[in-house]
Amino acid sequence: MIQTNSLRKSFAGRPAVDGLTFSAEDGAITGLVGPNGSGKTTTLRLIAGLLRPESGRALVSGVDPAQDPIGARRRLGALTDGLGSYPRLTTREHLRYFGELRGMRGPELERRIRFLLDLFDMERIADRRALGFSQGERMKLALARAVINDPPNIVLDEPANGLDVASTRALRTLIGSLRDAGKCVLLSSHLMAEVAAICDTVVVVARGKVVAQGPPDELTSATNARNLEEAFVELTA
Amino acid sequence: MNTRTWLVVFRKEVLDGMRDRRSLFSAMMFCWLGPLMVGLLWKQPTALVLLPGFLLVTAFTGAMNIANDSMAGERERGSLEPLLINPLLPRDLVFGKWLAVCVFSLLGVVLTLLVALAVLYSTPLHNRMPASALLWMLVVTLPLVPFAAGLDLLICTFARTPKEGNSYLGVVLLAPMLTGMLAEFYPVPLRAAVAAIPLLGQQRMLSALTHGEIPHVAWLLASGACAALLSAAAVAATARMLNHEKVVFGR
Repeated sequence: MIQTNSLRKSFAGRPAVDGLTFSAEDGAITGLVGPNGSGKTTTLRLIAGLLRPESGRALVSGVDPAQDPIGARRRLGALTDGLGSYPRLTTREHLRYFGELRGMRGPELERRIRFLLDLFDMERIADRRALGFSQGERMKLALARAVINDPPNIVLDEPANGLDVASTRALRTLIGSLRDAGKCVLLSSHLMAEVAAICDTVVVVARGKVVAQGPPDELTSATNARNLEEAFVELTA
Repeated sequence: MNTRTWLVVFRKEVLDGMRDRRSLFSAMMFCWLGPLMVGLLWKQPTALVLLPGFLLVTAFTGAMNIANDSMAGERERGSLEPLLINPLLPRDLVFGKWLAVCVFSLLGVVLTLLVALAVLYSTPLHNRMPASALLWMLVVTLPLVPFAAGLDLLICTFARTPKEGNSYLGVVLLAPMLTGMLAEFYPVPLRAAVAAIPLLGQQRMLSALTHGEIPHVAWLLASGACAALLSAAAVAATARMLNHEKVVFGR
């Protein structure tokens, strides 16, 4: 479970996250949506303990990343803005590196690598070095390494960016299976149709604040909109 | 310290560094050039005087490329953020990277000495300096390896791109070059306090070796202790920098 309580963070005096409070439950997919610059990425970085809040706090399975970043990160897999990879390492070596950093080893790690290579249709590039990977291949690699140790909480920042149809379907399958396994999935996205299709709850943020939250259907009907996209425009105007 | 974490980082950095053929080639050029120049100038009575300066330089050039790639490169590629999301402490991460940089710095020094050995025996220079002096040179230069690795890594953490890192490292490289030249023109008498000063201490002891003087154990200990302290300080400072938001996200 991921919770934020009055989370606040500013850059150069400008608030990026301004008293954000919401929770993402276990066994559910929570969508964090908002216009550009609304504080989504900053929120996800605060949850991962990469940024320190000025006030308020985030909790990852009850652990505050500002107090215990290692404990929080053990319980969290995250795909953030940084898709960077190592051009001289292969896909398999990337996954092994990140798996080992997360304490995995031996047959358990190799099994998990094979599973993720198969899930994201990456066998073709499994032993290819990352230099020259397309945006979609880089995204798939970043996604796979974010969930390499099958963590209980998963944070995904714009996970469908650059993915082709087959990979987007694989991503949907993965996210669905994570929910079915009782995990907490928090994802930010600009694709409202995608959010409406897969999210159980949507948190709408604008100017660093939560402006609405609830199931996609409820948000749509509460704003008398025809779909989530129209509701989003109405709520963030 | 989490041994498993820094070992994982160390292994990855060594593998990555070994595959960077262009950087390895450019670092190797420095290792060949110095001793070859000594060989070409063997008729000059002061030919061996060049060797200490080149050894100091290769300790730094061996470390430069991998230090640059593993810090400034991480920042430019955007791979530092996903790396730091893992449950690891910055000090374990930096320690693993620093050890890997040490390996490449040491390789540079050893290769330079091997080429120097070949030069000694392919010219009459071996009549002026025995091969055993090269072993002593390795011992004298060893403390410079962790120092150069730590300093290069710290400097590269300030850089947002490897290109920026290279410009900083170019300035850093002036230190061994100028020390090598100036200390030869203005030789400071050797004592423990001088031996303890990184670069100057090594230069004086290496220069003494070209004249057949074996360094005192006290000088070697002073040199090693000071280099170890400064290396630890550089690793700690680099790890502290990774807690700064501007370093992690400032691309």
